[in-house]
Amino acid sequence: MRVKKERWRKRLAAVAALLAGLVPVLVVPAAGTAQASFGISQRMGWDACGIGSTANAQAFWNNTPYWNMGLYLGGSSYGSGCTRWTTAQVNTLRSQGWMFLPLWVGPQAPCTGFGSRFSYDGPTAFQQGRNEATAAYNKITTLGWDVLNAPIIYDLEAFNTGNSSCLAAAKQFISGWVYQLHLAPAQKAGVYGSGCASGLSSYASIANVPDFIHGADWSGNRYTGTITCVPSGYWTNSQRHKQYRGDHNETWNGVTLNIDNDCSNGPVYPGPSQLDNGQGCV
Amino acid sequence: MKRTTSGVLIAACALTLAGCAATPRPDTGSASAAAAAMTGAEPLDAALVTPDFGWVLTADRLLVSRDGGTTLTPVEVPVQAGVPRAAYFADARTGVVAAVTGETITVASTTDGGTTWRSTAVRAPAVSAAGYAALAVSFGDGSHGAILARAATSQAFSLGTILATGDGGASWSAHPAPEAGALLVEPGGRIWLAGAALHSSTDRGRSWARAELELAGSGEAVTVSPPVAGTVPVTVVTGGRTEVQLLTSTDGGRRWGRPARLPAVGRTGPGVRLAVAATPGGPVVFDTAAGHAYRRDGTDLRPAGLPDGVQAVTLTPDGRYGWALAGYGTCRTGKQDCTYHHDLLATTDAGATWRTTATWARPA
Repeated sequence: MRVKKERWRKRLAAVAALLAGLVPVLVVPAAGTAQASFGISQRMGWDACGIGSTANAQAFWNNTPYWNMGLYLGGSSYGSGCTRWTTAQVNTLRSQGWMFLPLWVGPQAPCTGFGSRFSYDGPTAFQQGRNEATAAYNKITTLGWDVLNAPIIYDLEAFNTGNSSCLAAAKQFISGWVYQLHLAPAQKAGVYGSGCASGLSSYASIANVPDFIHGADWSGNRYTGTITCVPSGYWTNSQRHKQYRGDHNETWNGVTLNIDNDCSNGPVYPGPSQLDNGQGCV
Repeated sequence: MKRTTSGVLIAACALTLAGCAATPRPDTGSASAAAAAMTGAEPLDAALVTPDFGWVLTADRLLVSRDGGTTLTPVEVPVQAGVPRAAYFADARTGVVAAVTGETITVASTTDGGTTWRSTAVRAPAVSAAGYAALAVSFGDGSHGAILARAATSQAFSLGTILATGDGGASWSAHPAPEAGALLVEPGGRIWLAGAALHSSTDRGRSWARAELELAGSGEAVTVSPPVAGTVPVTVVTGGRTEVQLLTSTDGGRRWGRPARLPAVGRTGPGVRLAVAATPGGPVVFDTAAGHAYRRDGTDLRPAGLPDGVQAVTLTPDGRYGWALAGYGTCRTGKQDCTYHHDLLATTDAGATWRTTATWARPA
């Protein structure tokens, strides 16, 4: 568990966190080397708040185009009607063959109307981002995952990016999220949101740059290289997932779920990599 | 005719000979007429309004039929293509198409079956900076109607804005909705909004009352539909099983209980509503598994010809004519060569048998 790390490491981390929050630099995100705890997927997937059962997930695996599954881990904003998976169920999903896009849904931007929001205050938002990362880390630990380089995605819903104070708070929050996940044993830190209205491109120039993004762009276009409002030169090295279609019903093998569609060119849990098979993601 | 289903309808178009584009070719009269293979964007919604008149809304056009589905004709509507949109027709002449761009909802209305349209731009303050992802439209009578705009969010959230009119669409008021979901406006103007709960408003969305639902058992997830034929259908998912509970009210809709439980063969996840249609004999629940439909007493009508994935059904008031919209995916080999299909089906014998009249297919 994160809480068992050595005291000296925490002190160093605190100093580094202070510096990280104060010294923004332009960083071109770089992809990590392949590890057992993640792979690069270049294939199609889906995500749903509610799936109902592992049997339903199995129906969306057999003879379907889908390889990846958005897996909501939890968080203060996670809907009450959404499926809460047990460790045993997650293991079953893995055995079915699914690669995961693990999602964490915590507090949202302070200028939104969501019930759970992080602070306008920069240092506080940074710390809140760290806290959420710790909670997400603890969750994947309880799932028994190989945590080193495991990808975790923060679900940051749309907000008024024209509100400079709100955008500044979001930058601090995401910086804290990434900073904490990068503490050893580091995870790969991702951010989900609207390409435009969650300010995704803004996070390419914060102190702690996300390793990858999951951009919502419901254009129906699967190609991950194009996400509206995200410059094509950002997150270029297999560092993108794209949610290309929003909520709708699909029926496969007699099971009907309300899902979003995703296409990937980025890290999933676990490995090995599953590269392009002509689905149009890359 | 009143729309009797919730959620997204699709479907409709014409019949026969495969290979037509927007307008299916007429039936050749053969005993086993082929369904029309449609091109273009797949249907978002559809409804049979009278035995002859029905409509299909796709992402890029409105198709209408005046012969029960044999022929589908594109109609020019002054709304932008490719954006969230919805349609509603009260009869063969009076209808509305709404589409949203940014914070502006364009409402186009016709009183001559689509020959001419009058457009109104309505401002709908967004509840999400990402804008809106879906619309639903319902009218209870010539004066009272509502539009529900669902905010673009991840699956973890459900937000929306309700617009309401009491003067036939001349003016609209916008208010936050208690959640996104399915919409129904009653004659007189009461608005029903159904999501994870059931809400109603009698003041055009300014205030909402949450109905009390007395469900049987302890389902893990419930998805509520607006009232149909005097009942509130609730799709309940417990583990791997799905059932629909039909609730009734004796106090005007504040409390709904005495559930009739109808186990489904098909499995669903949270957020999916089974289609329910009003008939002279009461509500009929259509299973997402092929070939099953249930009356309130549990009788399985075993309709012939319905595929998996029925999403919506509309029947004429006498129950004889109807359209159904279904969607389902298939792959030829493992995870290769996958296609997602949308079928429009029609019945002329009160739902005993269904015939596919048009199909859309897209690579999946």
